[in-house]
Amino acid sequence: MSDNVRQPMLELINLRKYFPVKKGFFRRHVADVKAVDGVSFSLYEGETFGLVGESGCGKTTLIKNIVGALRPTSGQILFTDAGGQTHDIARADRERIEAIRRDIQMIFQDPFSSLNPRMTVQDIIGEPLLVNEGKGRRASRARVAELMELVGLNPELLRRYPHAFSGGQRQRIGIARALALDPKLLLADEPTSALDVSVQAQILNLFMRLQRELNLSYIFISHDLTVVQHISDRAAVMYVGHIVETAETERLYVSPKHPYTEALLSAVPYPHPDVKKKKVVLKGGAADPQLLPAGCPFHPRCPYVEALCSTRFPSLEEVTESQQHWSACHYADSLSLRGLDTLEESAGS
Amino acid sequence: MSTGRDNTQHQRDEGAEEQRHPQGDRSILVASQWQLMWRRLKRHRLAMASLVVLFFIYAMAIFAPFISPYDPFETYPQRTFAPPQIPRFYDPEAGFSIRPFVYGLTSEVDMEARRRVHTIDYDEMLPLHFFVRGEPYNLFGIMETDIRLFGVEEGTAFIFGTDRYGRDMFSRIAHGARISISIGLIGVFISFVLGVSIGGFSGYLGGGFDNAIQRIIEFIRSVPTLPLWMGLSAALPLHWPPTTRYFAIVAILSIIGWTGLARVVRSKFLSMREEDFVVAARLINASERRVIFVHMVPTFLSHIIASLTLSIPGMILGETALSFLGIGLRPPVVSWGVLLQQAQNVATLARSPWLLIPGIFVILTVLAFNFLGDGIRDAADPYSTEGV
Ligand SMILES: Nc1ncnc2c1ncn2[C@@H]1O[C@H](COP(=O)(O)OP(=O)(O)OP(=O)(O)O)[C@@H](O)[C@H]1O
Ligand SMILES: [Mg+2]
Repeated sequence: MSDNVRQPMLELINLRKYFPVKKGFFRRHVADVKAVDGVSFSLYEGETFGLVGESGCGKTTLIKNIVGALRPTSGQILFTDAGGQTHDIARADRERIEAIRRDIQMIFQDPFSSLNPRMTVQDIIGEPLLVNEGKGRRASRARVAELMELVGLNPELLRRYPHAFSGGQRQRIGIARALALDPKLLLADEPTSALDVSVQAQILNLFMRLQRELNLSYIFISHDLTVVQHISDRAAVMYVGHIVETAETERLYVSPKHPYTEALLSAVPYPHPDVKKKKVVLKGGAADPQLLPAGCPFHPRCPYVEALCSTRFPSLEEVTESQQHWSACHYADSLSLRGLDTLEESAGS
Repeated sequence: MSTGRDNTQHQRDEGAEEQRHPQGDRSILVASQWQLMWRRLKRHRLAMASLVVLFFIYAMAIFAPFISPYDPFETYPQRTFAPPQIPRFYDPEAGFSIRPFVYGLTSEVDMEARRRVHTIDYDEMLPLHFFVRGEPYNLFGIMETDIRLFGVEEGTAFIFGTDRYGRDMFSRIAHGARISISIGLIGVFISFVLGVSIGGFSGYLGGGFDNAIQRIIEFIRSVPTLPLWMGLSAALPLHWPPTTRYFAIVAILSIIGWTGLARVVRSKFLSMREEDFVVAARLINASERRVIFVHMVPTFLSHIIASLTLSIPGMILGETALSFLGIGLRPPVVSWGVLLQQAQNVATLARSPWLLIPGIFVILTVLAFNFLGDGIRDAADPYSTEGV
C-alpha cells in the first residue's frame, strides 16, 4: 500500500518520553518512568493507524507528545503540513506548535472530564474559533451549528451544558471541537472505551464517515483489539513504552509475529462458541515502566522465552517472510504464532 | 461497513437526553453550574436557615443606628444593671394587645449591697411604638434623622437589659455587630487575596518557589494560633487610635487565615492542570491567561467560597477571644468581644446573666457560617465527601 516514494504525513523517529521521579525534601531525581521509550513509525495521509496496548503502556503519553502537550525527552516528530513543509514538533517553538495544532487535534478518552462543565456546547465548540480566529459567539454561530450537524448533534441544543448530554453525545461534542479548525490529523485516545457498547459502534461509524468526508488521517488508540481492527489500515502493538509489532492490520491479526500480540489476540472474543480456541494466559502483570527488566521487556511473561531474551534487547526488525511487517522479537522468524483465522470472524460487520 | 449519510440516524439513535430527564424539567438542561449549585443549596435546610439568620445579623449591623432604640454610649445612671424588659403581648389584667409592650421598672438603691435594685412594675405598661422619634443620629454618614425602628414614648425600654453604666445592651450589641462581623469579612478578604495569589503562584509555578511556600505555610500552621495572636496583639502600641488598632487586629487574624486557603488553591491548581478539559483548552491554543481565568478558576471558585465561608467564624471567634482577654479591641470601641469583657466577673454574671447575650450572637453567627459553608461545599461538589 504505502509505496516508499510517498512522503509520510507524520514520522516519529526514536521518540522517548521519560518522567523523572523525584523524592525527598530536595526533590532529588532518583529514577525515570520510561513511558515512551524509543518509538518510531510513520503515518500517511488518509490513513488510520491503530495503536493497541495494555493500560499504562504509554499510549496517551505518546499522542500527547505529538500534539505538543508534552515535550519529548528525545527523538523527532516530523510533521509535513499541507504546504509540503516538514517541522519537528519535538523542537518547535510555541508559535510553530500553535500553527501545527490547527492541523493536529486530539480526542480524549473520557467524554465527561474533557468538556468544561461550566461552558455551553456553543462555547465549547466555538472556543477554537474564538481563540484562533477571534470569532465571537455571533460570528461563529453558523460554523458551530454546521459542526454539530456534521457530528450528528441537533444544532438546536447549542445552549445546553454538557451535563444535559449522554456519553456518546458528549464524545460528539469533543469531536466537533477538534474539527473546528479543519485539522488534517486526529489523534483519538480510546474515544469509545468509556461508552456503552451500543454507542461505541455509532461513534466508530462517525469516525469512519468523517474520514471519508473530510479526508482525515487518524491515529486511533484502543486497548480493545476489535475496535482497532475495525477502523485501522495499519496497527501497532505497544508494550511498556515500546512498539513490539507493527504491520497492516490484517497481517498483524492473522499472522502475528510477536508472542505478546498472540496473547492479546487469544483474548479476543470469538464469534463461534463451538470453535475451541486456546487462550494464552500471561504470567504476571505488565512490566513497571520504572523498573524494566534487562533484555526484552516482555521476556518475564513470555511463554516462548529463551536464554537470549533476558540479555539482549530486541529491536524492531522487518520480518523476513512477511513484508512491511516489523516485530521486536529475536525469534519472530522461527516461532509459529496463532492469530485470528480471518478478519471477518470478529469484525462487527 | 456502514455507508452513506447517517446524520439523522445518529440523532435518532442518541436521543438519550430525553431519557435522562424524564420528568420534563427542561430548564435543568440549560442550567449553568451556578444555577445547579443554587438548586442543591436550596435543598440544604440548615444552610438556608443559616442564610436567613445571617441576613438578619447583617441587616442589624448595617442598620444598627436605626434598629437600636438608644445611642450605644448613652448612660442611664438610674438604670445600671437593669434586667431585660421583654416585649409582651399579654397582660393578665388588660388581656391581649396587638401592640407589644414592656413593663416599667422601679429602681431603688440597696444601701447594704451598695447597688441598684430593679423590680418590674407590672402596673406600668409601656407600649412599644414603631418608627418613633428618638435621639437624632446619622445613617451611613449621609442622612441626619431621628426616626428609630422602635421605642417607648415615656420611660425606657431595654429589651436586653443594661450594663454597669446603664447603657442599652441591645443597642450596643447591634453596634458591636458592625465591628465583629466586618472583622470577619475584612479578615477573610485579606486571606482571600493572600491565599489565592500565593497559593495560585505556588501551584502554577511549582518547583522551588512552591517548595519554599509550602515550608513557610507548614511553619506558620505549626505555631499554636491563640498564643501567636496574643503575642502579636499584646505587642501593639497602646496609644494607637482605635481604627489603626482595628486594622492591626484584622491583619493579625489573617496571618493564619490565608494559609488554609493557599493550600486549597494550590492543590486545585495542581489537580486542574492535568484535567482533560484544561489540557483540551491548551490544545486549541488558548492562552495561559484564558486557561487560568476561564477554565481553572471558575471550576474551583465554589470551593474557595466554601472555604472562605468556613474561615469567617474563626476570625470572629479570634476577635472575640482577644477582646475578651483585653488585648484585642478596647472600649470605647464596641464589639461583641468587648461587650463580653464585662461578663468576666462571676459575681456580676450571677446577678446580671443578660451580659452574656453578646455571646449568644457570637455563637449564632459562628454556627450559621459553619452550616452555610458546609452547605455551599456540598452543593459545589455533590460527589465528594472530603473536606475542602
Ligand atoms: N505526568 C506524569 N508523570 C509521571 N508519570 C506519568 C505521567 N503521565 C503518565 N505517567 C506514567 O507513564 C506511563 C504511561 O502512561 P499513559 O497514560 O501514557 O498510559 P496509557 O497507555 O495511556 O494507559 P491507559 O490505557 O490507562 O490510558 C504510566 O506508567 C504512567 O504512570
Ligand atoms: Mg491513556
